[in-house]
Amino acid sequence: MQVVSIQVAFGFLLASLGLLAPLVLIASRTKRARAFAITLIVGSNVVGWFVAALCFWGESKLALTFSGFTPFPFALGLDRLSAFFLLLICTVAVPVAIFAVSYFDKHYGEQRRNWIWAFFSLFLLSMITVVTASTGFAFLVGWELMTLLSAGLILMEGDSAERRHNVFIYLLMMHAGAAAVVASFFLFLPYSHSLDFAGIRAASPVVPAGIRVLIFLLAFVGFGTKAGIIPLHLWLPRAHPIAPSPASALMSGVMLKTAVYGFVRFAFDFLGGGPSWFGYVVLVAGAVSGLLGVLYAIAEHDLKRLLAYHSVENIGIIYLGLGTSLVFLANHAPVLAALALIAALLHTLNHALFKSLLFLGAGAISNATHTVDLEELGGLQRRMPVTGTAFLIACCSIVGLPLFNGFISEWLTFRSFLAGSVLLNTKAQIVLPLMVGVLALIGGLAAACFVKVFGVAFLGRPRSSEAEHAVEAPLLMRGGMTMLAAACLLIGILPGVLLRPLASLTQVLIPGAGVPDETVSIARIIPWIAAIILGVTAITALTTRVQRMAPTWGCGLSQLTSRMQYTSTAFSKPIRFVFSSVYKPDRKLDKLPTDKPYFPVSISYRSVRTTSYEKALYRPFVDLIVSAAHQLRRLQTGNIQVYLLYIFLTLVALLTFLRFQR
Amino acid sequence: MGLVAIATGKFLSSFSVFLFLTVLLMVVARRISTSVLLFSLQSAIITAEVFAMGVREKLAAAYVVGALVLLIKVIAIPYAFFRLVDRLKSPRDVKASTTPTQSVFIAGAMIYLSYAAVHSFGQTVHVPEDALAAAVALILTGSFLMVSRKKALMQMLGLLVLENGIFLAALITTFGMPLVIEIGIFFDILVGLLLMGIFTFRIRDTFDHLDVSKLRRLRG
Repeated sequence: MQVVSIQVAFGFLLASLGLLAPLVLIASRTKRARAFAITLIVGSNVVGWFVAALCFWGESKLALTFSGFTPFPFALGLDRLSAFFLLLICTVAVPVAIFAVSYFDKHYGEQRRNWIWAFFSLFLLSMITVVTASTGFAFLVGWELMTLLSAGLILMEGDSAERRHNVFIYLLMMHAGAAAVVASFFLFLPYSHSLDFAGIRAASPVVPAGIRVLIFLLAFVGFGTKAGIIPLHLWLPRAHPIAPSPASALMSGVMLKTAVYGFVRFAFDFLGGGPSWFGYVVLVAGAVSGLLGVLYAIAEHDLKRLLAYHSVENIGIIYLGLGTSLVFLANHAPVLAALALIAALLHTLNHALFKSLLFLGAGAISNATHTVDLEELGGLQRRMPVTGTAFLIACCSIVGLPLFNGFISEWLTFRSFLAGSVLLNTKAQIVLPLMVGVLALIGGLAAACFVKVFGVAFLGRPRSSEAEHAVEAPLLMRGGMTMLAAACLLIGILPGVLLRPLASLTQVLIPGAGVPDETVSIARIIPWIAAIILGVTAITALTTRVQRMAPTWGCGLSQLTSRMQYTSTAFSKPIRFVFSSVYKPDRKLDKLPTDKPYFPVSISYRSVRTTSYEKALYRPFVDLIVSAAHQLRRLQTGNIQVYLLYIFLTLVALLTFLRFQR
Repeated sequence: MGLVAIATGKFLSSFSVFLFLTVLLMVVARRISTSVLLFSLQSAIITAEVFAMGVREKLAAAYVVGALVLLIKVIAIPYAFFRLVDRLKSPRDVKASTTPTQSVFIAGAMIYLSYAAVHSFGQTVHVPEDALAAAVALILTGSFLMVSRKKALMQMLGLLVLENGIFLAALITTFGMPLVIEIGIFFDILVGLLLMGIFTFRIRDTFDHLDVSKLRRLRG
């Protein structure tokens, strides 16, 4: 009985996102129809949340087959892993949709608003299809739609040449990644004879070792492109900032996670781990992405680009956890492997929550001030208290402060690194504890970065008149952000709610894994610490009543202006100085007029980060393709007889081949 | 009775020689009208082969097809071509881009190649090797005519020669295709010719010449 009702509820989710809402939006332009469609989107996601919750916390499973209507087997299903990611999507989708109601209303005309909502709905559906697919065909359909629909959302915002160029790079890299994913699916085909997930899982033990390596590497590259690990991240800082804020929240918060899902599905569920170098590859990729991601983020002063680079960083942390898990799995330590996998999966959910909250915050800021350039913000906390507080909670979460959700997952990742020293393998004994240093450095730099973001944007004095006249975001925007902030706090204080089902989830993926002690202990301790801290804060707040208000000390100067404040660039200067070998900045100082250097009329200074590896890695490849294309272009002369000659020569060549073949 | 069968069999293989002759003459022809005449002759030989096939295989449908070939390829199309040449009032020269000597050598090579390609095939399937080689040679020479002649009209003619080759190959390997398909193919040629004819007029009207080698604006 319950199974049937879950199926009906899941079917309702699919039907309303995929058919009902878009059809209503496209068919009718009235306000009431749009309100109905939006209610449908939000409502169906709430229903989807409950479906996912039943399958994640409970034992329910679900399977829906559409193979009768499609040319290839198309089936959706929910096991624990899928349910976890469906939970993630629905948890983020509801507040983002609520936020988007007033955001889209303000930013788009009547005509576009319906289209963007239709895209929004279908984009959600495509991501749900990816994480719930139980056949390769369903997965790939969802995967491609996800790419195309997100590109559509980006182009909704406008279609300037620069935007088109960025979308082109996005689509190019996504399709290259998708090709790798398709190839890794099809490599299973000779052994499994179908792309059914159950069939692939059953056939996986008979796949020869060489093919397994190939499958793993293709899946790593394919999903890594979507996840944005360095050096496959090029599209990410280009595509995410230019999307409308709710769409960037979904892309950064949810779409990247589908890549993590795909990778976990392949590496753990299908292949069941592999040699330990698989794990080291993933570890190194995670460490590089984490470090470079956060370093690039610090140097940015465009808030949305900065957040996009932080997505690279957090994907790096997730990959660190996944790599550690693979190393443990190869060294026959299932419990520790489970610990690292739990850490990675929990960080996936946490990142989805706080990163979408940060992007929504950026949306609220741009809604109030029409800019996301940190150098033009400042003093927003007073003007937008709710947005500021929600943003602060997200900042605390992303840098992993205790009592916020980021802390739990980073703590578990740390614990799994330290546990590496108990392994008997020398390499693992050295590498895994070293990663503690890497993760600590990432965390420290992220903290510096978000001190900069919050300090420059929300504290101090406004740096522009727009920031000075900013007003608090409308009710629905505040509502969406508050929901996400509450979720961040809830997981940060009561992690046991998620850690227990996650432990049973990893038991399915990693045979022989028990419940790791570390997860139990932290779930037990954190609520008490929270209670103590709350108590102490309450007592101090009640006992100290006297507050003295005084002007800021201006070093003897009578007038303080906003130009005297730390700028975003100045704040990050020491870090950029220390890591200048990473940035390789290209500095340029122009003084005008040039013949009188000591009496300049204007001075302009420019410092551009040149990423040398982008040139070194991509340039030869791009040059090769472009020159090959130029050579091939010479074939196209425009003369019809030359074209006919090609056909003629092909015919002759084939006949000659036929002659000598026998 | 036996005599008729033997005669038709001989006919089918030996008339390939005449087809080769038309091909060789066609590549050296300097005038469009000569080429059209040769095409008509070529089609007449193929008509004869269709009738021979009908006699040998005792297929009534083959006579209908043969009549159609006679009507369309031997009479109607050449007639239409002559009218086209008259109406277009363009110089009669085919504007070959190869000298006649080169053309003969290339055509000879084509014939050799078609024998070479067909050789192993002809032993496995019981079809007259000469006729099949002639069919392939027609296809190759038709394409060669399209490539090496600059007049738009010659491209049409090359396509027709090529089509003759395909028709002959089909006739020999399948011993006559179903009538419906044959009629469909004829209809195809007619529509194709109509379109090309219209385009030829448009080219002449727009550019005042029929030289396709000068049409090279269509490129990215």
